[in-house]
Amino acid sequence: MLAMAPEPDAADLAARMRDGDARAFEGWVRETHVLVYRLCRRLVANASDAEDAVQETYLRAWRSAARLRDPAAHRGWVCRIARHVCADRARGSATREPALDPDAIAAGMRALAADAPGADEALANAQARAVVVAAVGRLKPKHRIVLLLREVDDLEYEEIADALGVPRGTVESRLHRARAELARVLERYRVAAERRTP
Amino acid sequence: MTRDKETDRALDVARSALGEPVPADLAARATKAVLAEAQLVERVLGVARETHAAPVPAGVAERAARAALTAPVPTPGWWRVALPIAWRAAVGVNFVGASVLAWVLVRGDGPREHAPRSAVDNLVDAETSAVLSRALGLDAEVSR
Repeated sequence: MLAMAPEPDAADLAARMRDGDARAFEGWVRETHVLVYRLCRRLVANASDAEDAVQETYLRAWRSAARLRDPAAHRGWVCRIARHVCADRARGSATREPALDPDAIAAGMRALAADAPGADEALANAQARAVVVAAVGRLKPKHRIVLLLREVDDLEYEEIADALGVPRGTVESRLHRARAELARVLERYRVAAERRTP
Repeated sequence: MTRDKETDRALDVARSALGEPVPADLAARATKAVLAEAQLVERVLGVARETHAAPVPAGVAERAARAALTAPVPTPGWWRVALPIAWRAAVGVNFVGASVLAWVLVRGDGPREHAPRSAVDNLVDAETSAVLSRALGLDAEVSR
């Protein structure tokens, strides 16, 4: 019976990458790219920019691999590089979600409140999605990114903490505040929708 | 806290102050409002999972690794060599300056040592005193 060699974990790969092992680097990229891509996607405008940012991140990581002091902390290290890369790319290209007009908010809130969508389900979905995009866009950036990484990208708290370079407790409190902020935005939308309803 | 909850609490306080009974369905309405708010947030997050979904493109890891490994290594510019030298020189100058300053301060705090007076110094002092005394007429005052 053949004894299978255990798969090296990401920290082992990071340690070998630091010594210049190109194959270990490839393995390490495969282990970490999902986290790095998701972080980049939340920090830059679109998917194409995010992929460019990922490539730039790993290029910088490979060139500065010798400076990785603690291989066990490789995830925080590569995410720090990714944040710098994304900050360089996003500088001067900040975009805000366009504000919705009150009628669109009213229609979207009605679509969200309806338990069973009516005949024109596609329209109701589109209206609801517009309101959701607008509501999420109104959150503070530091709250929005935590909410999206957790609720949409389904990352663990520890992964988000590494991605953003903050303690786990900060992630938890920001997530709590993000949900509360979202509830406040929705409440404002609900009041606006009630005013528009004849 | 939502507007409904705030309103309910304000009504509660006002009715208590006026001596009116608190409505029986107050707690039920408040609970319903909180649940409705939580449900709405969950529904919005459910929609956000579709609107903000960002699936990782296939092959992104391979492309990133290949790009990093095949990228030409940039030749270091002159500043890459000069900057560390300048930095170390600046650190050295700072260290020497700080050492001199510390030495001066330490020297300044200690008791000053006077060199022992020589016989010539004593003679000069005595001569100077005599000349001054004569010039000021002090010796005449004393002798009188």
